[in-house]
Amino acid sequence: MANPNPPPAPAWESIGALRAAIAERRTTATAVAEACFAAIARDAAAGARSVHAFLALSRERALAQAARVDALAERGDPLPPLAGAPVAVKDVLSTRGVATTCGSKILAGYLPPYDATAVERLEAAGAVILGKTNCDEFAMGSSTENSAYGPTRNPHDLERVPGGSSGGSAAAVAAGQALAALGTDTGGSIRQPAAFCGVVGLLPTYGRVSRYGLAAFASSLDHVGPLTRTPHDAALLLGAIAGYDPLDATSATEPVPDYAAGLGRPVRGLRIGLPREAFAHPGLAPAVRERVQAGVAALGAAGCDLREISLPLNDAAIAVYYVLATAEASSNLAR
Amino acid sequence: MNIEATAQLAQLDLTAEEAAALRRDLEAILDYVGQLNRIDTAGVEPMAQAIVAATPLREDTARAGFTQAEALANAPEAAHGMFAVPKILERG
Repeated sequence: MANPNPPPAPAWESIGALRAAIAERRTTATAVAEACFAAIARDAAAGARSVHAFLALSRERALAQAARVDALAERGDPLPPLAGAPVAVKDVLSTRGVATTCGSKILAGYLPPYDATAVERLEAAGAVILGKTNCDEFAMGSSTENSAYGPTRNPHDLERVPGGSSGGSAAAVAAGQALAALGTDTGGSIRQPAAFCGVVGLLPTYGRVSRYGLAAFASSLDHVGPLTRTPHDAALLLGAIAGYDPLDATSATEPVPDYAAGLGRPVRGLRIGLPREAFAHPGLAPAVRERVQAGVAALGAAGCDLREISLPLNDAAIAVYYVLATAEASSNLAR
Repeated sequence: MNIEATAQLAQLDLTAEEAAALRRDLEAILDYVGQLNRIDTAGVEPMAQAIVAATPLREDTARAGFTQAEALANAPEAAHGMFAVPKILERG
């Protein structure tokens, strides 16, 4: 169904386009950051009709970083891969000197003395950190209604939820208030809000992205990953945050490939398994089934080798999740 | 299941409604455990962690950490360079 009131698009459709524009001096990182802050302020002024994606803004830090990027461009120096990209960060990730609450009143007023590794790496790659996005309290929820600071609304329809728990990150990107965002996913918390808000959400392989500086929920399931407007931007963001981190003993030592370079490869001949049990599940909404099957058909038309497979333990996933997630959460958060 | 005793161990004061809701949640979790117990895992190797690699060790060299002032900056109360916390063991 077409949306009668689509949210405003940002001035720059992708990180690559923005970087080129900054390099060619058609815009500045500072102007882009200011435009984002203006969009966020316009939204805040809408009161009960606001998207309410952000809990805190890191204006000073963002403008200092934007000035560094602009100075590089002015000198004609090569720009880092995320140069000037305005990025929002889910409020469960630690940001030095920027309020971090996990959506909870318990942490109101807390100013972390350090950055999460993913945040530090984004900045090192030239990204401009705009602020912190709303989420279900301690990332426990699927609608971003369970935040102590009030709900986030879906920019496509303010009467609907944006999904969760990374709902603020998904909504900020969908509303054009940030070009990309970091989210976290323990049981769907990047993928589901990305789907609800019509943006790209990527759950990286476990161990691919350091969790240092993430308020732990369930350590054997917690992941940090990107939410973006395009798959190419997701590849760029993942490339910047992925890789071994001595501060996270569970981070993988595998080298980081150039994800963006891999995107142009043809999909012909890729073998794709379609788990019978998932498609037969009574909880699968007909509209969702239709869209997934349209995607499957598109992959088939592109020459993928589609095969029905069986995952006989599929139905045990929810039970495993609720036993592990609750046990690990009570152990992690008791501290 | 003795909700009251469990709540007391967790230092939670529950209303009757909260206790009833908690009983439902805990029973659901026990039911999940029951579902898992019915799965035949004979011959399945236990997986303790997803990433099987030796734990990398860093060089044993001194490096800067937080200063005392940074570490205490968020403390509601500090005394003698330490966190000052309220008494927690008041129940008999």
